[in-house]
Amino acid sequence: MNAGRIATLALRIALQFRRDHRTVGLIVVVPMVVLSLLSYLIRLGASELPLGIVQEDRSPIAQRLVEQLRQVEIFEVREVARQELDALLREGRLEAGIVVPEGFARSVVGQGGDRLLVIVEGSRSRTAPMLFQGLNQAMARLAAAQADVRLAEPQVTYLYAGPQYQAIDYFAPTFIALFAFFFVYLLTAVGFLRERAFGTLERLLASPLTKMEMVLGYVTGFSFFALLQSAIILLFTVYVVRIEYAGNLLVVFLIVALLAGGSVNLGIFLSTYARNEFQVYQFLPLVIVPQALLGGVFWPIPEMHPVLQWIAHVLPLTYANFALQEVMIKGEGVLKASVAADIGAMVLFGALMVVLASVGLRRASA
Amino acid sequence: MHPTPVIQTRALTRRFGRITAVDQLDFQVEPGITYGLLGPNGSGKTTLIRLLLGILPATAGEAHVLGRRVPDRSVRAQTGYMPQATALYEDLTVRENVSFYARLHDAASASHISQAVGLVGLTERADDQVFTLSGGLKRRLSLACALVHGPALLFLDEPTVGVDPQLRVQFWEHFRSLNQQGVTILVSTHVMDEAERCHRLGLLQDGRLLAEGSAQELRQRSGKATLEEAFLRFAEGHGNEGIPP
Repeated sequence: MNAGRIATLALRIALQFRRDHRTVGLIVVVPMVVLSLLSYLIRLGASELPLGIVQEDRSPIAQRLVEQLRQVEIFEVREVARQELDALLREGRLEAGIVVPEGFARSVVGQGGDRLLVIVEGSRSRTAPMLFQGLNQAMARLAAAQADVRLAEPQVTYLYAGPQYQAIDYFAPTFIALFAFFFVYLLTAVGFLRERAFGTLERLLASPLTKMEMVLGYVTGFSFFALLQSAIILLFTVYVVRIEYAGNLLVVFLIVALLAGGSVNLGIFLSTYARNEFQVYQFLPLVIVPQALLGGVFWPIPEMHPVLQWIAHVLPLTYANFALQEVMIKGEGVLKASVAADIGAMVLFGALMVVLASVGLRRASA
Repeated sequence: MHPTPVIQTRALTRRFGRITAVDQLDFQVEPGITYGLLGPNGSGKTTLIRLLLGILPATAGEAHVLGRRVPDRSVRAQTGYMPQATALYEDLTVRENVSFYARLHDAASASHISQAVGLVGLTERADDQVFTLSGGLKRRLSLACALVHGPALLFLDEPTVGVDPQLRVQFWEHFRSLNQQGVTILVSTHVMDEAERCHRLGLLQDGRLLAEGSAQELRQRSGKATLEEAFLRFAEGHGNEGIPP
């Protein structure tokens, strides 16, 4: 073994890094940005659960229950009228509602009457566990203060999803979107890079093919595989992983396909900035990490800092997440205004990426 | 009366930052000949070809190719290009590569494709994937891709780099027979014996045309016995008016 030769090799690697400013930048900047973001988001903590209480029974025991519910720290209680409860839940202003019905006092002493009615909005995985934790806490305190109270099990209904939904079912829409975006980006970026690296792009540029024809040809060619990839991800998630979902799978596929179309063009655009495959992979922390962290997958966007919210709203994955959650968890279709708006935003992103890809091609050929 | 030139440039210039790759170049190429661009590495040969093909926009000046001002997409159906890199799809077969470029030029008849594959002697390997071919065979295929659509003007950027002497002779026989069919060829090279085979030569250095003429004319004008010495003589005289252009 020759230490000199080993040192020569190691020094050459160092020299290459010194010349590769982008890699050095990524080594320094990316971990700091990602860790800052992650620590901020983790410290963000869970916000209180917005709970609407409909108090139809004004008996002392009902009063005391509502009082206990108000004292639960994880609840942000608001008294509402029965007829507005449903709308508030659907608009997302409440996550859950508790109705204390007329005959509640009688049910407590075992004389018939009506049990508590609990309505869970159901589109977020945290709601049910948080709600029951708080409710049990309130009921336990009430029972401790008053020995003769026998609280019956409340009657629970879900606006969306249901008790059968597990964490995986809530995350599935997002994972489908994230994987489709990620794989399709890699596929296109590396594929297009090869066109440049092997010199075939040069020949294409000298042919009668226009730049727009080239971009559209690429989009069409890669989109076929992007759609295939999306279909595999979707069908595997639904039929093999067996997630719970509502809504129409074709609509889900449409959303994933749109996202993949945008990803194809992003891949072409960014690959014109890469000199080799290594540099294509270097873009991953920039392309995937912010979308995974800020796209509303793990942390709700409205609770983030306004700047991060702004960033989240320019990321395509955010809109795919919104739309997929509406469709797969709430069972909505394309006719719902918010779903249509999300799809519109993704179409806009796709169009913008086609333009950028075309501009990137011009730049790459000059 | 002189025939209309196939290529004509006026003060054609291309700068990359501080470097001027093609500098105020005026030259023209008559139809049906092989015109050789002779010059060392970095003299501007490839940039000139890319400018004429319209791949690269000019910084100043203008170029006309086949009677149209560059860039004009309509010309591209009649031009063929063999870049310095092999520029082939390695996963596709020989025939699929040729067919792909034929289709891009709207010339995808089976006979065209077979003819181009046959012309470069690859008929027996037509269904083999490109990555299985040797370097020389890839160059042949690259040539087939450049001429499958029957172009009137062929740009060849150092077509014989990495090609053995036997194949080089074959290549030049092809070029000669293409000339006889009326095809004009602009070929860049830094190999002197190849330059000898061109009807006309342009000696290029630092993006400027040092001298132009047939190999024999250039030797005579420089008073040297070989083209190589003639080139060096012109390069020395560059800038001090020693030799008539």
